[in-house]
Amino acid sequence: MHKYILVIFFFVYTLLGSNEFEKNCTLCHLQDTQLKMIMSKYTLKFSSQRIIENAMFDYLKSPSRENSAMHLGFLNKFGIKEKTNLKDEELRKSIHQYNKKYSFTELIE
Amino acid sequence: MYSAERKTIISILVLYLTSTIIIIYLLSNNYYEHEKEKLQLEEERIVLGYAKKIYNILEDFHNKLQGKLIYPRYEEFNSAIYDIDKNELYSTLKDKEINFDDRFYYKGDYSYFIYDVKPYYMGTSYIVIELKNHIILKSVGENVILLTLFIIFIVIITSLFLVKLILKPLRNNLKLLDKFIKDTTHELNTPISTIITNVELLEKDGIEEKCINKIKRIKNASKTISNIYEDLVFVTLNHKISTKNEIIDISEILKQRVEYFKTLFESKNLTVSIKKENNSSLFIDRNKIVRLVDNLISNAIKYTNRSTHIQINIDKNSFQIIDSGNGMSKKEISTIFNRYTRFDETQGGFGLGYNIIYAIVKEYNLKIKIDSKVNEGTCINIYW
Repeated sequence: MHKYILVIFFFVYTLLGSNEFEKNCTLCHLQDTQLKMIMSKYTLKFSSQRIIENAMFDYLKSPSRENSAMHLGFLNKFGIKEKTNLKDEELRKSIHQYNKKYSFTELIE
Repeated sequence: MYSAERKTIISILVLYLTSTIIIIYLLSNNYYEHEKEKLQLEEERIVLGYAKKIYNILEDFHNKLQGKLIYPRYEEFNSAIYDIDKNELYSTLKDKEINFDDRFYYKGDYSYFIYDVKPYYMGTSYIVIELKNHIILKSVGENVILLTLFIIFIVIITSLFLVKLILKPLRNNLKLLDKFIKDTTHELNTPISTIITNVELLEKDGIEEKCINKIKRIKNASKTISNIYEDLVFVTLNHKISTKNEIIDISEILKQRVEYFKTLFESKNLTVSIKKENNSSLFIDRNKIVRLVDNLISNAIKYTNRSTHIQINIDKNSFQIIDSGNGMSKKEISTIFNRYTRFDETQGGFGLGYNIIYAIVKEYNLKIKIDSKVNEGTCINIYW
């Protein structure tokens, strides 16, 4: 009995506790270093959180070499990502949560 | 010092000082700006080094991404970093309101340098350096102000000396003229009195019909000279004749003086009428009110046309003398109170009349209003 309760508890926790970013992104982007590197490239190119989020949104909606923040070598090796199926609102939420979590501003003290 | 001389000195001083001050201001401002620019360039070179230092730290951390970045703090300056949307990423500035429109500006005790950077390490698009204002620049400014004030002081002294030097010949001439008038006046008194007394004695004794007109002319001429004499005494003694103020009945004085000038009125075939609206009195020295009235009447006689009318109106606090003479233009009225001003050289006198009138009017706080139209006549209104 206790086993079932524990399984149900973890199931509910995962369903409710995880946010859009974790739900939609971390399945593929497993490594923390990888996420940091993406943020590093975007920060270097776009500076502010507002512009970074817009650039990420544009890229994920219609990925291309032109609107990618990654360098040419990376794109040649791994290619262009597939277009997202997420709805605009959910995609924006995911990107925002990612930015909140990995923002470089938080690293300065 | 004559009032005209004082006016000239003031005008020249104002003109000379204004132009000099403008030149000094431009020069000192130029010097200050030059020094400021020099210091600014030197400062900019140093501050650029500070900005580079911060940028290198940001670049280094961004590339390594290890742990947390302890934002660098320095004693020599404060700094801040902003993203491209001008959101503050980190700041140690005293004043956090930054004007991004200028790349360099002063605010309070600090100067601000703003640098655009790219790529945006740690999201930084702007590095702002806050530096305490240069003490040398302040002292340069203070020195420039002190030097400017000193030069202005020297210029004032020099210009005063120069103006006096330039006006010296003019002043000497005026002094000479005054001395001549003073000496002449002194010698005139006895003969004039003798002539008038003897003419009056002749009138009393009874004279032949054919001599009456000749005697009248002698009397008129004597009275004119006597009037000029009184004016000259008044002017040469600088109005410092003994004063005994008393309540004077204005209508009585005007009647007396009209009677005194009766023969002069007759000589030009002038008619005079006095209209008294109300009793009028004034607390004034008798001799001075006589000089005032005499000058007004004699001017009216001099400048009015033959066979016309002179109207004298008396009210409670004023009296008017209206003639039908040549009148005066606005320009002439503006210079009328200057000493030795004469509009008609064919008329006698030294041009002292209105100068004396003005001196008395001013001394007793009276007011004078001149309404005049060329070729129509003049109305002089004295009121208090």
